[in-house]
Amino acid sequence: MSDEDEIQPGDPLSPAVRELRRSVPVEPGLADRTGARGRRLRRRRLTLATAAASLAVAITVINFAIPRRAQGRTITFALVAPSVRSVSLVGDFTDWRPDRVRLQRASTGVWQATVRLRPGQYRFAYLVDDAEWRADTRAATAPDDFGRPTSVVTVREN
Amino acid sequence: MTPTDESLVARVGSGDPAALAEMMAKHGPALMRFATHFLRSASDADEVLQDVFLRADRAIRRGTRPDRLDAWLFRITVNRCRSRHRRWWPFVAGAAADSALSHAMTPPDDNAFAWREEIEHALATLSAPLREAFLLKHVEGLEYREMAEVTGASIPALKMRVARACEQLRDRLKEVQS
Repeated sequence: MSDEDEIQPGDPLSPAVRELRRSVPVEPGLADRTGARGRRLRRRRLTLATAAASLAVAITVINFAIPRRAQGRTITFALVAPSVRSVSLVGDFTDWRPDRVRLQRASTGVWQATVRLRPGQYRFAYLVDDAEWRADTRAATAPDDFGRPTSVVTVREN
Repeated sequence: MTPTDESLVARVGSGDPAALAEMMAKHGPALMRFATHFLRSASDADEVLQDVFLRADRAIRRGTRPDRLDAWLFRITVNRCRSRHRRWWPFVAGAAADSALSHAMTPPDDNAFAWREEIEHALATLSAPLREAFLLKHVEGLEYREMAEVTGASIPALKMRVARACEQLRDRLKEVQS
């Protein structure tokens, strides 16, 4: 410490610094308290790690078990229509909106799309060139509320 | 014989449970004094010390080998005190009952007690950075180079803080004495 930083004897701070420099006792048993605290923290970390591991297992189960059943099965819809420009799949599962599932055209003239459906029965149809409504001739048919031909697909549990 | 810091660190690193207690006995008092004056609460300072030695123990067991154990422990203590102060600062002003100097090793004396209260009150009026710099410089006797290492502040900044702290404390204590 250089002289300019020293607090000189006549300085009003001098007695205050002397007082502050007195020892402040460490409470007895600091080592024991510290050890106990360490053990508590280790237990807490172990509990948190166990909880995190359990949560990870639960999430894995949810991701790989429950959703597979809940998400149902993949169904491929196909329409043979070599000379058309576009085909949309419409049905209960698209809220009958033509912009949800567009079928892709294969070189053979077959249009197809694969969607995942939960178990249940659905009505559907194909909208060709955004104008012509067609049922799937290979599926059971039933008219919709407006009298248009629609098809029915049943998705089973397994 | 007091063990050297190097041997203490080596023993803590090798998992000797007695070594941590010896480290506390050797370095605890200075850290306790700083933490008690900074936080103005002996019980808070005690908790900070537990935290400091737990962290030091963990770090040394994981391979940390501080060049200077005392400065390293002070750095951890300063950081823990800052964290605790930030967490509790709206409430610490009322901690006078658990005051730092009331725990100091002095004989009971009414005048001395009143004087200690005044010093503590004056110290409490300083902002945390000024109080920290003043305590490290004039109570713990650290060099500015060591203070910079401990606090992470530059030496000019620390010199300014110490000067301001001294000025404010002088004014405060002059008021009391007059």
